[in-house]
Amino acid sequence: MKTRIQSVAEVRDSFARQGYVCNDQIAMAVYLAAQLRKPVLVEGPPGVGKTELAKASAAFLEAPLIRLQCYEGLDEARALYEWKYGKQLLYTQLLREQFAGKLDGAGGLEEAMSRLGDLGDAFYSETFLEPRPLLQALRADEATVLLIDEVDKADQEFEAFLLELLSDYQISIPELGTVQARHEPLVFLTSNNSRELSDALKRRCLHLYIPYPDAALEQQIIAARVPEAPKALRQQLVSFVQKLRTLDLKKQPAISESIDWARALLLLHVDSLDAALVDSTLNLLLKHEEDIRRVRDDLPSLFK
Amino acid sequence: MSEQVIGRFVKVLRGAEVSVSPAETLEAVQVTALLGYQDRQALKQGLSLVLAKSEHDKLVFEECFEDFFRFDGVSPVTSQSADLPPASLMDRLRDMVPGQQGAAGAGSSSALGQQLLADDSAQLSRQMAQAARQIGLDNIRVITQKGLYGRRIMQALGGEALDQEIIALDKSERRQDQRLAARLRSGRDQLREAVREYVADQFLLQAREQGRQLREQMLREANLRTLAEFRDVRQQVEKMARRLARKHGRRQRRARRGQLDGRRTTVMALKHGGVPASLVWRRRRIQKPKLIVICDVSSSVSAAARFLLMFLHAVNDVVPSVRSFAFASRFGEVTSLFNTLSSDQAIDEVMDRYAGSGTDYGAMLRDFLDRCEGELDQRTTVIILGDARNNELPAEQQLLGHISRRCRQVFWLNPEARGRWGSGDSVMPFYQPYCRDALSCSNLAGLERFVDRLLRDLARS
Repeated sequence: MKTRIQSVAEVRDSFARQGYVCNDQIAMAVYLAAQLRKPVLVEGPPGVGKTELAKASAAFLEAPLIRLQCYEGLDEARALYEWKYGKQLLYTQLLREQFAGKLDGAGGLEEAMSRLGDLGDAFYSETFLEPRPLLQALRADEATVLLIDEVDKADQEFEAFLLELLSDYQISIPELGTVQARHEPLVFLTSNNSRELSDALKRRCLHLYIPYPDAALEQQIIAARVPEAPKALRQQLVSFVQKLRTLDLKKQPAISESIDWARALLLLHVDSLDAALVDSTLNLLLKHEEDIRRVRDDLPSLFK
Repeated sequence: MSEQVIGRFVKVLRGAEVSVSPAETLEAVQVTALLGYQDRQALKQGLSLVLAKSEHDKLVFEECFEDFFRFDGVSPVTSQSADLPPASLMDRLRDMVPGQQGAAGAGSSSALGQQLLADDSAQLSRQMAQAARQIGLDNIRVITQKGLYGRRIMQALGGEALDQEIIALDKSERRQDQRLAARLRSGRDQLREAVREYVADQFLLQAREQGRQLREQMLREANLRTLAEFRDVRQQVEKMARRLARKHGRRQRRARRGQLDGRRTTVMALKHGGVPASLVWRRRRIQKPKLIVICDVSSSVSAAARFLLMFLHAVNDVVPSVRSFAFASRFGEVTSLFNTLSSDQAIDEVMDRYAGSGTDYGAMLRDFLDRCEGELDQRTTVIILGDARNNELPAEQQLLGHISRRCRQVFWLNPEARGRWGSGDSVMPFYQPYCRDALSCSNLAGLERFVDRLLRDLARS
């Protein structure tokens, strides 16, 4: 991983080269996270590029990205490590004779037990350990970027479990002891705010809130992602999307949707927007029937 | 230097109800060390990342930052010197201190007078900050102390000597002295003004938080009946309710340890050759509880009813279905009012419609059963709020017994102290056996405790 970051501007420029256009606030978060060795908690409405940020950072830092997608019921076995039960079983089956040999001549239960005891540890060793994303990140040979995606979807217990990792970059495994990170990873956590995260978690992270971009920034983003789109179309499109966001909709169109829309319009060889065209492609922007109906009714007024 | 500035800024944030931990304060110091004070925008972005940890906090942070760090227009003098009080103060002093540049304090004999004439605003503001520390301006608590502390700072700056000098110069016959006196006087007045503003600023920064805490404490413990007169009591209730909702709202599912989910365990075991290596516990979704609140709104207890209703409707994220009834001389459902109006308006409307006297608890219970018996089930919690003063009418406790058998539980909240239950026309002792619990609640803290317990209980079901 790249260790020296000169300035916020360096982050921003590198992101821009990758097609991830961002404001100074976002670049500042990455800069500070790398300098202070702190995790970043990224919040914001869906589709503003929270996950993209982690990917862009990984590319910028030339570090591998390890991703953990959270969901309800996610537990340590999925996130951290699991014993390879199948392999353990297979080994016991195959080594049955060995065991028998080992136990031969054991005078009584206690001796047999103690002989087995020596063996037991062999079954809970690295050979049978299946590392999951968190452990992978800690044991990687180079520093990584660890993305813990949608942490708000996971249970509260899991959130508490993450605290040790986030503050000390270490994790305690009962059978093995404490695993310290070989190289401290840069951690991104994202949240869609489906529930309030605990204060303990927030305290350990830098907190970045990414709102919907303003018109100028959104134009830059679209220019970077869909460079083929003519400038006039881009302007029209962005101003329309920005207008939509002021309406009271069930789900507002995000950046990813404006990009999709721009691509679709490009495919249709459109040079400028009109009401009929918007009407027919509205389902690319809005994902609820209700919203579509609502905007359809307002289309004439939106196009003044 | 940096630590002190950040420390003060954190105090301001805390005063504005952004919670900042000591660890976060240290991080903020690191951030300032890293970014420096030159680029104000960058500093703001950096500090916002470590100090404000929610969307709402970010907005508050922005405001506080703008107020606290007023960097623009800092004179070149200030940027050369490392150890300086906040820039805003410097600006103000620079504008205020009169006198010609380079006059170098000629003519004045007192130290303060010389400085005023020399127009050394940096020096002056440094001294002002020093004087403030000397007299312990941090201890200012209430707004009426501002004058006192202002005078003390003037004193510490050497105001007395200056006063003496001005008086002496006034007596002199020489025109030069007279002119000097006038200049010194206007300088002193403006310095006084600067000190006054400095104290006011410090008061806002320092005392706001303590004042707020004091006030909250008082609101929580004041009797509900007197509480209705306070202006920001509604915010207080909402804040308490938000806290409770956050505390209880998270958990939608919980594992029931001890009950094995046989089917899923078997499925999982297939992976390991039939050995149930990982056990799956049965989970269950918490059923949405139903809450029915019956409030006595007769004059003697209406204040308590007001706050209970406010509370319960404020936590409706956690308890989505609350039906409320009000009664005094008559009985009726008021749920729809809360759905259409804001909670304040709804409560006023309830009071208008139902307030009265002559409560008859027996008749109320009968009315309630007539209307809602069919809806009582094992998910329903019934809360009755009232003083159980029945105007010598029959208590009809068997009706409450019937209700309590039909629903999950009955809670009774009585605004009167426990010692008075059963005295006079109170029929509380007849009702008590049918309640899961009967509590006395006379202030917000008591109400909060009850709602906290109720929510925990509902989450466990």
